[in-house]
Amino acid sequence: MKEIVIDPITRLEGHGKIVIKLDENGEVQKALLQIPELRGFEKFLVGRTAEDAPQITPRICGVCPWAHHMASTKALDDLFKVDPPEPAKKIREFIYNVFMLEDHAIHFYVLAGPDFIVGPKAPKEERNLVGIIKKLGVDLVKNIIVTRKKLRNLEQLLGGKITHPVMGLPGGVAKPLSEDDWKICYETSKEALEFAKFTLETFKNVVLSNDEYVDLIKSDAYTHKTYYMGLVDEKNQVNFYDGKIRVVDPDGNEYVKFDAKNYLDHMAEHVEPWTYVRFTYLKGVGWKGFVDGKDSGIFSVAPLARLNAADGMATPMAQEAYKEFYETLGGRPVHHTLAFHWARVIEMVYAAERMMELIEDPDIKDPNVRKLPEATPDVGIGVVEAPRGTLIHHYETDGKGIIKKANLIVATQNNSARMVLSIEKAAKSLIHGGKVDDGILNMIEMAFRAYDPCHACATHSLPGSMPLIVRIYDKDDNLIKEIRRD
Amino acid sequence: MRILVLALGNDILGDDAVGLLVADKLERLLPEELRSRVDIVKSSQAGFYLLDYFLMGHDRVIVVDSIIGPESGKIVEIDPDSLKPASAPSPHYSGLPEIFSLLEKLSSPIPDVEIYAITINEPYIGADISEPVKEASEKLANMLILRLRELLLDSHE
Repeated sequence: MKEIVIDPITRLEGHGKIVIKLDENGEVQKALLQIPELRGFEKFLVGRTAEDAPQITPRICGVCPWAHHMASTKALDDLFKVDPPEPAKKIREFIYNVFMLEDHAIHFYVLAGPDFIVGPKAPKEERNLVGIIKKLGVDLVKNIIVTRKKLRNLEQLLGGKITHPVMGLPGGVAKPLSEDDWKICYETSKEALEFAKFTLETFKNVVLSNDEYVDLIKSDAYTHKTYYMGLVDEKNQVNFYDGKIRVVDPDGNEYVKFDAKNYLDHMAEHVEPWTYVRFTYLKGVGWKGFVDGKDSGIFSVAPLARLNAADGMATPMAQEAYKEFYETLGGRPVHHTLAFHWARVIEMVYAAERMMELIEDPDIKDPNVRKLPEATPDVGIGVVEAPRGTLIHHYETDGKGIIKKANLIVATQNNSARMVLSIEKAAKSLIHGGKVDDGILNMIEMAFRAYDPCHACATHSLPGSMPLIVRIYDKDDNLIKEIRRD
Repeated sequence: MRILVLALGNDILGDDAVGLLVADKLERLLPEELRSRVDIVKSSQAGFYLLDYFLMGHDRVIVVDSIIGPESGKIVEIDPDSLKPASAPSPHYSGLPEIFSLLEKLSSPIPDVEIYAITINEPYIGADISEPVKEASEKLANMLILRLRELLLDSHE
């Protein structure tokens, strides 16, 4: 048997690798995603005061600290049985949309966009922002950098810190929005909306006008019929900050809708001996292995799943884009993994429009931003939609608020089973006769890059690059070929 | 000349926090005559998210970090040119090499970059910083003061 290993080695080695096993004819037999996850945070929280959790949990991730901060803060609301005043909720939702927009922009322009804007088979040195400069011009990239910087300034302004925000408190936020800060937020929101609209237009002009790319998005190699999960508001429209968790089946019909506090009734975890990842699945459907379809409990989260799980977007321009998305791709739900990118851009428009709506709401300047908790804590569960999908924080404490048990269901974990499907299917479609080159490798990577995976949180990265190693072994496990990308 | 010391690390991840420890020591020990021209920033951010720090108008950025090595507590200097860009599936894996090539293409003033790292073993959440790594942080902080003095006071710029 031959074995191909795609091994993303970061500063901390062994963060994850993809192993593709070939049979004697060089056809793909099996693909495995192996990730030694850092799960120590749940243990680390035990014995600490619950109020510390919104400051500790952002340290899980150098990329998406706001998602953990917000999920944790909402878990504390629940823990202390306190409903924050409306202005506090609006401030929270506003800054959370700022974060979502910023994070999605990075993924689109820096990581995933190059596959389409520069081209999936372009030389690897060009599939990055530098390639985008060549294709779209330096001014656009400068605009991306400037807009992103302004969004991050808002995170600092309202959050106290960018990476370790301190604004969220049980029952509200640490400070009201001052008139001066409001003006900055308002001006940046206007610019953010233009930026998001521009991004959607760019996506349409560059990707959708190219039949080859649209065919690639719709190709069977990147398609799985699974369940989809996302937070929805009372109209079943996408909401990143709050709502009920809705799941639709592979035909797009509502399978279940539930409050986050009941997640254990609907979600379970499956363990495989070859990975540390706990694969979440729908309890009511059951774990049937790495297969898609209505009988398999595998579900997906993140942008494509959120759009599929909702009946629409809550803001006008995003709703228009939502309609065009489903008209172009054959109706809801869309099962094409590469459509995650388009969905992400639609969510950027929604985030920017929602920022505008919230900042123009006079309530957001109301100084009543905190309701002091008075109840005895016991159990608290909070949920948000992280950029990478549904994120749940669950704490159990003693009567003094000391954490006795913590459970974190992180977004990428919810997508992991589908990611294994995606890698295997892409590999089976693309590798034949044991032939692998850089272009094929990239197209397999695209299958999981679409999910914006976020493994091995808790570290920054030096040297910061992700070398890939492909090793091909013959049936006797002798190394016959190695491709390095570093 | 203005210099940024960019210290990287996660403060609840054992030895991974050593960059931050070096920054703490520098903040304490930095001689008065250097303070007006040195900024010290601590960050737990990853990859491309570090871009902003290279756009703050400094002439030189000194990155201080940890790196997994066979023997912990050794100080190593890393040649920025040895870091090569790679395509990345996640912002976690996109990093300094991409930032350098981007700055070059943007024709932005590119600061000179020096990278110093302290070797560590696999870090664990909640662990204390180990003794060899603590000792190395003291040494590196003193080395950096000498280096800053050399750059700011001994140069004829």
